[in-house]
Amino acid sequence: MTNAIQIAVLGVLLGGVYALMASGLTMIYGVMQIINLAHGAFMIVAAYVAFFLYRDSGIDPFLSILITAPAFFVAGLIVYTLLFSRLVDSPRFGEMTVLLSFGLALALEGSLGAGFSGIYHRSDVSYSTSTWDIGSIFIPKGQAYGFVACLGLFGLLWAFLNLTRPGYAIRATMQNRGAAQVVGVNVTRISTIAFGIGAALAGAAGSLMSFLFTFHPAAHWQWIALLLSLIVVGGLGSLAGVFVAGIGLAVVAAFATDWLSPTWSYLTFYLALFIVLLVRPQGLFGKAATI
Amino acid sequence: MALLELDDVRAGYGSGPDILNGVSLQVQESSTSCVIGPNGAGKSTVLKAIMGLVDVRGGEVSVGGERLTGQRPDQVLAHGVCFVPQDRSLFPEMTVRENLSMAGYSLGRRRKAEARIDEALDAFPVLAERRSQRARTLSGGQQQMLALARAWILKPRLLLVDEPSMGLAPQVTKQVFDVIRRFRALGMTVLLVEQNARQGLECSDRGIVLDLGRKRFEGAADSILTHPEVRELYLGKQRERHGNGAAP
Amino acid sequence: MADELAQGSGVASRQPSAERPAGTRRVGSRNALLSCAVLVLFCVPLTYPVLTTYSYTLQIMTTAFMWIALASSWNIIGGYAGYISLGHNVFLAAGAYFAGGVFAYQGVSPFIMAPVAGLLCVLLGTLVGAITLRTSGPAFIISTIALMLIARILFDNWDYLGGSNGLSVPLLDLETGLIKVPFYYGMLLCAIGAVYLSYRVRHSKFGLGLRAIAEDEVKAEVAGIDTRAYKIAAFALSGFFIGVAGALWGYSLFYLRPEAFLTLAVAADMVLMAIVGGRATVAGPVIGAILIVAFNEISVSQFGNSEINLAITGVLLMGALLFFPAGVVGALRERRRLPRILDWD
Repeated sequence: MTNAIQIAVLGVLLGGVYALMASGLTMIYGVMQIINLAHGAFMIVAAYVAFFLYRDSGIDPFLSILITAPAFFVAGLIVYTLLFSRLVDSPRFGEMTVLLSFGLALALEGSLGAGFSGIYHRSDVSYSTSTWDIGSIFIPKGQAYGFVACLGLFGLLWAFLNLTRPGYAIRATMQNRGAAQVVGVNVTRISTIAFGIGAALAGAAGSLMSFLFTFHPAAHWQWIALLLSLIVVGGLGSLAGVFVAGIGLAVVAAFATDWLSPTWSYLTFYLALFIVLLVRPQGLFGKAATI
Repeated sequence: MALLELDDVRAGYGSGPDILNGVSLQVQESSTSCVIGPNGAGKSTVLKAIMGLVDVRGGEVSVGGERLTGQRPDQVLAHGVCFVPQDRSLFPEMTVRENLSMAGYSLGRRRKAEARIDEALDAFPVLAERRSQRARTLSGGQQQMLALARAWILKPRLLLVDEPSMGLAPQVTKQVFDVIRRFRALGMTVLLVEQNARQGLECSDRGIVLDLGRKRFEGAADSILTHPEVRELYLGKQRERHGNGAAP
Repeated sequence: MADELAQGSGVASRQPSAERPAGTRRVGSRNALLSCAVLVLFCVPLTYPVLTTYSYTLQIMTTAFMWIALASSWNIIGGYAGYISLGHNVFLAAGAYFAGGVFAYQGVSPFIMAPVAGLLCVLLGTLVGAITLRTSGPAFIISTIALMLIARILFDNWDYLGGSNGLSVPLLDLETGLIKVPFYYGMLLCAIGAVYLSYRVRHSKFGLGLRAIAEDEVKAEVAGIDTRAYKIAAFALSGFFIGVAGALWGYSLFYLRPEAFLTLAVAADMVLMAIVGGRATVAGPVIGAILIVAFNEISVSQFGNSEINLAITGVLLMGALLFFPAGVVGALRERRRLPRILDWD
């Protein structure tokens, strides 16, 4: 039986990455009440981009974030404007947008599969196999760097939301869309920007994914299911929730995987989702009602 | 001079039917008008139509001669119109001070907004005491004060207030209407929608009676108060109660 | 439909003669036409000696019948009640594995077990619905996805039923030419059953309640409808014919693997068909299923069985949602061009 601390450490490192991946998803929901089922697919596309940048141009995955994040920001602006914003006045907005994002995910998966076939990829960077040995614990360098990057990106996100004017407007819109409108926030524009940011976060996460995990076109379903579980457990729209849930559940999953079997690495999240829905549907940090 | 003009406005929600069926009204500058009427008359819809929160399907809305029809709420705000909705629309997780700060969002410059926030806190001591409290922990009356304080910061040309007394105890309602009288005393133009017709008309210059999306009566507030037909229809036959019915 | 009835009564009051009102006559002729169509379908396998593409024709029609059943069933919860389930293929897998397992280990034919599989799915739907339907909107959709993935993990690890390697099921003892015939009839009956169920639900007080829930759940609740019971009932009912279809389909494959049933692409198809055809209508899923199956055939013949199909499915779904949210039946109805033969609402 491996050292419990070892397992916990690995869980935390992984959880940080999950939290970053889910942050864009929960933010998009918080601002415009859209469940973006294509979020996982965005990440996979970004992973492919980062993979080829590394393989063909030698650009380190961490550096590739400087490319993927802005590129996906723009892509997000376009996707929202062309697709989702058209549904704003529709009476069945919630369903329609979910289905729309579902279609988008399928389209992206299909395109990736057609273009790159189903071969599993993973960037082979030097630090993905090396570790630091501290006593009886070894810390994989790649995952540690990834975790630090996630903290950094979370920090940037926090700064943006709390120190800039558009960030302020986004937070306001997340808390009460009607109120934001009434104080003069252009909620359409803010929603577009928020979607772009969500997509940018997916892009950055994809860069990290390219060396942390193996990926292939159909992998996004596993990811989106995991991330959806995270955002529900954390509380839809809550960034703090996603952080706590991400790390918490990842640690639990790590232990479950070690004690029981590898299938628990995903099953933990799905079960947590069901338990939360039964016991506390609004999640850890979700609000049951608003003023 | 009329600051606000609605000309034969038709409006409704989404793909639903028309709620306003051709409403025309005017509000003179620096005066306070109160819209009363039964439930479903479309009173709130009038305010929302002005603010751009509802589809205006016909007619024109203008403020100070500038056409507002079809503009987004943030654009209407830029024309100097401020809306205090029925549900107060506060930011529940933000403190009183942060809520006021958000009100200053459209003012742009930080320093200007800060000065106004301090001014507002001075004007509303109830809020000053609670400046670091989260909005969702305030009582109904305090929330309404905060909503009105937000308008105070913006010093709008036209203030739209939707059912300020909603859900509030009579004592608190009096305080709320006192605030509205203060706005009025400052020379602000106010358009009020009230279910509590008596209280609403008592702090207004003019009254407008709406029913089924159309204007039925219009006139000086106290004449509406005493008009027998209106009294029967909308105010209910009432004996004089203690404290009520007296002049403002 | 309402027009016909109103017209009918109008004519009757003007002409108190023995002549049947025009409205009911049209409904009558519609039903007669449909009955003829169904009769023709029953006769198709009899062309065995004559039809050269016999096997292929039966195969594609069987597939179409199955998807008609699946889409029409999904429509009960997804269309009428407005609760989008992206994990409905769990019923498909449950039906397939139940019947397949019983056949492999006990020797009872899936054709006999199919209705039992259906009932099992109703039970399953009641239990699952009781949990997942505590939420609404986005949380519900997410829970159905999670459900499906949990089921996938479950079946992948269930060694008694073959796990991820699959369970092989004994072949049907018939000459190769005729082997598709029983499945053809089985699926045809399943499709007719599913459409009939959909029709009955639509025209019942239950169906009216579901549509009220779809439009505004709070108002429905206030109007006295037990929304929770209705939703669970709809969810459970929608499982019946999917379970039946699963039992039959699994058997026709002669080999059961979790990844054949429990992928989001299968769920996507059910949803797509209902939407393209016209959600919340009786005829919509039927039209949608036929169109999508036909489209898939053409697409596969052009591009092979590649990922491009998936991409096209996605694009179609997006297109339908953005430009034809009411689907074929809905769009035709809006333009008042819906032929009587398709107006089953």
